Amino acid sequence: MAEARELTYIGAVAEATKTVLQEQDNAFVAGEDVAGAGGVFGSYRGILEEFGDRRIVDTPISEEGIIGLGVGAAATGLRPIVDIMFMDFMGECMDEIANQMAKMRYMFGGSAKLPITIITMSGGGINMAAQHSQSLEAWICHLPGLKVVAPSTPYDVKGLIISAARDDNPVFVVLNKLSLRNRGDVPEASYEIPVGEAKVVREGGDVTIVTYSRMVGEAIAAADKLAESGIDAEILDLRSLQPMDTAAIVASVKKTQHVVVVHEAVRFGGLGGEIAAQIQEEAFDYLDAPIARVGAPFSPVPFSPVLEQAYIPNAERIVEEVTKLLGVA
Amino acid sequence: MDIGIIANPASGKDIRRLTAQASVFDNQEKSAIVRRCLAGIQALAPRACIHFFPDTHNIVSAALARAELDSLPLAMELTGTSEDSTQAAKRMPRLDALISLGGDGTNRAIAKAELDVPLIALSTGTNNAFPTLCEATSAGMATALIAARKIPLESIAPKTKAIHLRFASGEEDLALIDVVGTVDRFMGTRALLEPRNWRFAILSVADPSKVGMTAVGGLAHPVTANDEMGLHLVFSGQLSDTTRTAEVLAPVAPGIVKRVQLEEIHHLPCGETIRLRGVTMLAFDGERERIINAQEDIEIWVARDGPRRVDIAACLRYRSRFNEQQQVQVKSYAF
Amino acid sequence: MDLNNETLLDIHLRMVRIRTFETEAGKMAEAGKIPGALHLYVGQEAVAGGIMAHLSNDDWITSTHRGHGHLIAKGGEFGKMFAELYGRATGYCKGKGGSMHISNMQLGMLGANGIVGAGPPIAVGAAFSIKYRNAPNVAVTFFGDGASNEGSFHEAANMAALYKLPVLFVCENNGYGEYTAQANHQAIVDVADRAAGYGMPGVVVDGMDAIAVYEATAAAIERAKEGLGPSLLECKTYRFFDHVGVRGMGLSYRTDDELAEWQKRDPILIFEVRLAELGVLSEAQAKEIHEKVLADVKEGIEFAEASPMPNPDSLLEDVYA
Repeated sequence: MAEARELTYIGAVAEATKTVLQEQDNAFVAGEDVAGAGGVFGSYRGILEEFGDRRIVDTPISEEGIIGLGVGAAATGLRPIVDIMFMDFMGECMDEIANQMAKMRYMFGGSAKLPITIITMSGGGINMAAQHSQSLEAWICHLPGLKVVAPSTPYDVKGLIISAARDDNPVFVVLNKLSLRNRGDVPEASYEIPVGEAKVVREGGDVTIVTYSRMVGEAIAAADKLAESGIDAEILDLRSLQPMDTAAIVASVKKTQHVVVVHEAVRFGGLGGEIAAQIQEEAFDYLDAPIARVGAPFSPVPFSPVLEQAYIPNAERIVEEVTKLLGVA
Repeated sequence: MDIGIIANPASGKDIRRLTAQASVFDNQEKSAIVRRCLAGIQALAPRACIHFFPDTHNIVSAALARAELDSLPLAMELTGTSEDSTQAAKRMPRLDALISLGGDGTNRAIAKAELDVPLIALSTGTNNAFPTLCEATSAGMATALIAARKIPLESIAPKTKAIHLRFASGEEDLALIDVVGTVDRFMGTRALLEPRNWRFAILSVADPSKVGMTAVGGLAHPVTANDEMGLHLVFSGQLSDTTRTAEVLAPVAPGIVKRVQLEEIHHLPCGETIRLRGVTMLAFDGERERIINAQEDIEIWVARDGPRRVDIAACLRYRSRFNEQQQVQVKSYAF
Repeated sequence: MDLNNETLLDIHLRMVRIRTFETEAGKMAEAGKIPGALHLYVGQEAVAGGIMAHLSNDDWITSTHRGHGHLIAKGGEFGKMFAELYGRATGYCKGKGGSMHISNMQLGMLGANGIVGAGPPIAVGAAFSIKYRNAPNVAVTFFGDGASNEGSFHEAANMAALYKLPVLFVCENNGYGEYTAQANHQAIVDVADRAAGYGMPGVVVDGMDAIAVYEATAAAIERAKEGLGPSLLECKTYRFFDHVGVRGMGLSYRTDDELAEWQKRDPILIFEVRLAELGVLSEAQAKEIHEKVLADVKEGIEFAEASPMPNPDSLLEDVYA
């Protein structure tokens, strides 16, 4: 692989998008504030200057219109990258996501192809309160026809966006707001990270922490802490949520016999429940303890920094849960 | 005092918004026009009773909701066609004044009822020749004055001309501004779309300051509302243009200026009848309306027996000159 | 505008094909042969017929829950359509879509749609695609008076006008949003009035008159192809059958008199009368066409009934590309 240099998480979005636009003449970007402003998070900085307003299009604040634009353009031969600024805004466009984008191919008996990449932003931690901080990936993972990826590092951001854009299906790339300034090595060349492949980011033998997105960082911090007490945690970064790499989860469980599933989303009805169910279906006999789950409490994301900190799962809570699980508390 | 209002909900929405740049009048605006008009009436004739046709779009009834005037809807079944305006006019009680809201077609439909009532014709669009495009509040005030019989009708609301047609069957029809014979086969969207299909036009008024057929005639040879004649134009159609007598660059539709070739232009004095044939469609006041047999002779003549159209500006000027309540003293500067 | 006899007969055939297909489909549904719900297009044929006569397979349309007519007018084959309605493997959607999602990408038909108002944003996307590729085509989105109250319509209209996209917004105003009369679901009477708010022209067209629809469509397409952007055509029409099925659920929400009034202006009937007057199509010739189309429809039904059911193993196919 060509030379890597350090990029921020958000810088990797811009670089991946540029790569896609260079590689595919039919690809274009559309969304709110993406062109002139370069994206409110800076995701698309420099793209208008390099590619012009044919390839990157500012839209009105019309999420249903934006997703519809993506569906119609994709069905008729383009490869749209559409941006939904905050994942919370999916409420505005859920019909076009759930009833159109997800199902069109199936309803049409396979005759339609919808190569759409939807880039959106999840997570709290920046005091944006209840309507700009949610982690709603479970909503879209529940819809057959969609794929969902949630990168944790700048490297994964670039690789997953490129893969998403090359995929002939709608793929949601769920980014995380608090990770935007995280830095990491990113190769200049174009590369893919296959959709549906998890990655062991830390090997260990005592417990598996299954997680994704920003919680990978918290899991690593937790593992460092646990190591101090002699607990050797393995961390599996799912990267893809739909399809999910069940095989990788099972393999790790077989190795450690203990699992903690961690996500920032509300615990009840979150992906953790699905992951736990899959583990008990595929690897029940290997489990030495019940599967533990760490997620946000059943409440909207609060505004006050104090409340928000109490709300969002972190390394400490992971440590607590693992310790409890292993019975070493 | 009885004042009638006939508002055509269909005006201002035809295909000329696509083929040309015709003005758009939504029904909210039409209702607002009526409301303004009622305010003008109420100021001068608070005891007037408004008779109206309950149009499909509730234009008048919505406006009346805010007025303090008495009102009576006409009991009639609606068809949603121009026939509604004709029927409404026929069913009106004895009126002191009638307000129309629409275009040339609306006023033609009203004219078919042959009422001898002063007509305050308010335009809903820029592409009309018969009605007046003016502020409705002032028009309402003029209506009240007319209805109070304070205005000499002969000078302020003279009879307009109308174009009459008699068909082989003996049936008759009329138009207020123009009749165009074309070789179109369908009424379709009704607008006159294909100049190459035009064969002749009979105009009661040829006004170069308007748009459409009246402007085509008016730019070739103006005929005013006061002239005791009409105009007969013969178009070259798809035929060779070598015999043409005139070519006029005319606004054939709002925002569209085209060269129109004329084979012949004739004066048509009031009362003189001409016989024409060879067309399959007749358009009245701008709308394809009647399919006919090309072999059929049509008798056409112009007569001064159209509606009494109120000159709204003249009416209000008259009032200011003969203000009964008080004479306003106007002083002159000494220069 | 090319209104030669060939075009007239073409429009006529499209309308007769819709009427015959829908009437027979209604019968099959009442006979219990077609599962699920059918929303039939009878009465509105002039809209699909007058518009589709202008379109090629490279022009895209989005349809509604009342979508069979649009697909037929766009060139849909009876056999594959009936097979889809019957839920057979040989249907346009392999039996996975049914009546409410019937579609054909080759014909430029982006699907009937079970969600009221979902089509306009998709058509805007198709028009974006046309403009992006600089193709000489248009997208047409059909929707009803009811759908014009959905936010999706408004977002799409705004975006189409903003980007000056070659898209026609065709409102088939049949006076009812499902079972609710227009007067009870919106404060306006002419949906065309909504166009001005988005910066596009809106016109009211007699939706029972195929030639009126044809002419208005020609003008709207010309505008679109000149780069002037979208137009809204409101076609005033009426469905002769119920919201669902032929006689529906027997809900009393409209009167027989009202239906009878509209039936006097049956779009096929009035067109045939004029075509006969013009000597373009005699009564006998028209009858022949109806008979031929009915035979084709019956053949389509036979094809469907003889077609295999989908293999349950195909259940998970086509979820993903």
